[in-house]
Amino acid sequence: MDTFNLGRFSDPPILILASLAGSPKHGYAIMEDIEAFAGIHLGPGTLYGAIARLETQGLIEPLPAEERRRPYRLTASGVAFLQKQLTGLETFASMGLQRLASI
Amino acid sequence: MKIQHALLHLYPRSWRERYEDEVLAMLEQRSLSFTDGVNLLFGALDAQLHPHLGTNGPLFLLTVPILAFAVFLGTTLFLEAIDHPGNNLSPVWQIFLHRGLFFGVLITAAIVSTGAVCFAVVRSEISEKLLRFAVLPFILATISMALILAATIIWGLGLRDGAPQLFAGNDGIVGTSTTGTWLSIVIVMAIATLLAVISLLRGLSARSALRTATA
Repeated sequence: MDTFNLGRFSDPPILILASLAGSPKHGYAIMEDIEAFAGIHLGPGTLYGAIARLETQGLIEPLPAEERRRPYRLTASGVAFLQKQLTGLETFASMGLQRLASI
Repeated sequence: MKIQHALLHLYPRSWRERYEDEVLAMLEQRSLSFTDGVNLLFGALDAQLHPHLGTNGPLFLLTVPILAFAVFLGTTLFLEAIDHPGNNLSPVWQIFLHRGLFFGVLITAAIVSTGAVCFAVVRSEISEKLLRFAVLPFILATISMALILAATIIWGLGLRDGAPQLFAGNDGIVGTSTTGTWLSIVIVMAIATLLAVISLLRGLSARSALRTATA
């Protein structure tokens, strides 16, 4: 799969929400998924720091643990938040591309 | 797995009760690299500083300028304490301690403070509304910086005309030339004011572009 590096726009919470938009996943699966679609490796400290924040903010929620691994999924607020963020990025990207096209 | 356990023990108890098992399960699936170990270490620091994760953000970084100022103040007090005739220090050490330490700590404190505040703003979860509000004090601060710069230039030129013997002496910071100290202060203030003006213009321009994009 072709990947591109998101650079400074690789905000861990957004990457995690985007990963969970596909399906509920546990920590390791989230890490692997982000590496696959964004080419970014989130360290375990960063990953669980972001998971803890997203959970505290009610944007994701844990599902019952499978053995010792606990999957997470997006909440309704998480879906709305991600939708808003991605729409904003899309609008911003469209505007930038339009301006580039006129150069 | 001993190192993983040891690193996770640096996290707060409440955090470990909630996440330790699943993090260990994740770490069992791949070998812990050096960078992941360092990442866990920083994660522990973050978790210790934010026992209720998700509510505070990295705002603790905003205390860095105050701490840096305290270190700078401590350094000047230390320099004053050793500044007496019987300190048995060679002239070279006197100069190194007074000028080197003073300017070293001052410049380091300025860089660390600026970096910490920038990082806090970039990584914080401060609401957009609050950040928009910050534009007003930023404008006021920039105008104040420009006025203080102008006042310092006028004061220096006035002193040069009114008391040239004072201006030509060595009464500057830590015994340096008065003219040199005044010029250095003016240059640093001019650069700081210029950077503030550029940042303000960029901030206003980005805000305007975002408003247009989201309209």
